[in-house]
Amino acid sequence: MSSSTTTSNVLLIDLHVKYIQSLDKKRDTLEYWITEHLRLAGVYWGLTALDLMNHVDALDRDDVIAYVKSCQWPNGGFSGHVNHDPHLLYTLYAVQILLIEDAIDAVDVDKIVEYVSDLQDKETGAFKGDEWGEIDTRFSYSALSCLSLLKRLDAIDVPKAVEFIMKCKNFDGGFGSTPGAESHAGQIFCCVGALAIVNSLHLVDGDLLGWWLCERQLKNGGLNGRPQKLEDVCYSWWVLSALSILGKLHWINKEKLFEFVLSAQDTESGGIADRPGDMADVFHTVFGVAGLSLLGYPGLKLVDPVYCLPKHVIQRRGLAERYKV
Amino acid sequence: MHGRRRVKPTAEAERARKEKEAVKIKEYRQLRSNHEYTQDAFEITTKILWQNPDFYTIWNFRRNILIHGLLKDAPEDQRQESLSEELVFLQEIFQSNPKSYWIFNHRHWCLETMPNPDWKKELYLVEKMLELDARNFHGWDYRRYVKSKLVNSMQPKDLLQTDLDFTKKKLEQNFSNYSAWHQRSKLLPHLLSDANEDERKRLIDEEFGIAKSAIYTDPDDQSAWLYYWWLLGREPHRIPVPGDSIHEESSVALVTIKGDRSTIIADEIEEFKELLEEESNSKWCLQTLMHLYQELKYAKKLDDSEVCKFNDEIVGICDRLIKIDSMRARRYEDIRNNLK
Ligand SMILES: [Zn+2]
Repeated sequence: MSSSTTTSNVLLIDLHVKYIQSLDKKRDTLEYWITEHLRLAGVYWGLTALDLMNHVDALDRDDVIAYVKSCQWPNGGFSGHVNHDPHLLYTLYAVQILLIEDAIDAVDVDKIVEYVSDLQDKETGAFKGDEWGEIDTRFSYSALSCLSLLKRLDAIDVPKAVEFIMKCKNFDGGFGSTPGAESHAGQIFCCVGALAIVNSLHLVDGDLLGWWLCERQLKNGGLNGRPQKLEDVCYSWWVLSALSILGKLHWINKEKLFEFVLSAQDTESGGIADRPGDMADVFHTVFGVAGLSLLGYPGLKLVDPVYCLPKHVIQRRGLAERYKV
Repeated sequence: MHGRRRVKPTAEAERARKEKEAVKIKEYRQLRSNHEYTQDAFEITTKILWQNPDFYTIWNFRRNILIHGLLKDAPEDQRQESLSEELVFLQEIFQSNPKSYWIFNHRHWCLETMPNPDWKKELYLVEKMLELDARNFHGWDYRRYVKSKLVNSMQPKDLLQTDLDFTKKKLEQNFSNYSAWHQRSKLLPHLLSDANEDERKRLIDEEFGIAKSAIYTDPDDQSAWLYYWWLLGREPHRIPVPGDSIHEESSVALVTIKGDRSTIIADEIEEFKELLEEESNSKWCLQTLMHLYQELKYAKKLDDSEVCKFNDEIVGICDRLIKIDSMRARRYEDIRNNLK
């Protein structure tokens, strides 16, 4: 066995396109089956990365649409794969995929709206992930993003939703998963993104939070998600998108972050890993590419930091830009 | 998806893996074909979840088997016993998967479905778990959840004290435990609201003491600095307009328990100037000084020459920070350029 140590200082687009295409062909690995519950998410991650790299056609459009349709349940929600249970997270992924393919009419949109709005807790304004009732600001983001993309925010109680998110705000200006929970960059993306969608960014303490976020950049250029944690490529997205929404993207060092993300590429088989030398996966591939796009890496399409979709998709949908950069 | 090293296997190793996995894949797919609420199906979910604790549909299925199958019409003692066994299973599976949301979800459900949940035992278990990983946020979240359940069986004051002792212990073990500082920021306002004047003063003095000793132990560690900033508070008009009822307690009130805020800030500036003489490259000390000058500018009425003097100090600090902490140079430039 040999570990590959070659690195590249440019984005290996062709290799990453091949890597994403190959993901559905690995049926002889246990990994493929064990990650079945993530399949729909995987399609969203892969397709977004491909579109940003100007290769949206690398996945067959009809196949993608048919697959997404096969994951919708009679109650309107979508599951992570055929015959899995519906969940709010996957319902957003489905909507995002269909918007990239410009095919939202392929599914029953009214049913989606019904499914999402039924998950709001009328008392607190929070959102449940599914019928089992887990509460998390990730789900608040999923719901607001999904309904905004469908232009149906009228279906829920927006002020209550905002009220719940603000209960999750912390002493450092960041946000946690539930009231009382510690700030975490992933959760911050969700809360800041959700607030941006409903025009409530004035509730964010931009100076304090922007400062906390830019302190996530470590000496090696990578970003972590909480103080004293290791750097990780996916935080290139969670931290950067939030900074970008707050208009403070320039508070981190762009060149150093470029270097870090590019050094996490698998230069033989394609894909990007959480950090240099680790196994690549499609999750870190899209968030690496999206981070590079936010920072204006040449040759990539622009990404929208609020919706985590290519910007042209948001424009085609006729949605306003809800961020400062 | 996290922290798995990339290793390119040889062709032979790859063949061996495929053979071995082919059997497992077959097994795994067969497991998935069963959909009845029976004991057999239940045992199959155990097997699948051992392989893949993030397979949420299987957790859902397992709960349905219990609700509509095995525990349907079961007497109370049997429900208690089965769900207690479920907790043991969760604990075992947690050992190898400390970061799975679904394991905690299922634990919530078990305890809330049980006739007699033992919340004190849960508190003990989660604190044990936080000994292994003091920053696991699932653990901290779960601990907060358990405490919210203990409200029914413990006096609120005792519960707050438990929390105060626990976070203090965590900080004594490691001053860099940001999760513990965070928890204290949630706890302190509750403690203060129940306390009388003397207690309030004692509490806030103690809190400043803990933060300061952490800062002096390791001036490079951001955790205590951030907490210290929060204790000192910020001038309301430097913070964006908050919503009416939905903003948390203003921390400006905390330091005023100690005395006049602008006098305290002025004293703190002198103290950190001294620290800076020993630690001339401490970016956190410099940032704090810069922040304190800004706050002082708003905290009291200054004449033009004083404003000028403070601004000169801030510009000087920005210039030093740009050199020491060049990655964030643009932030310091923004501060320098936006001085009023
Ligand atoms: Zn990651």
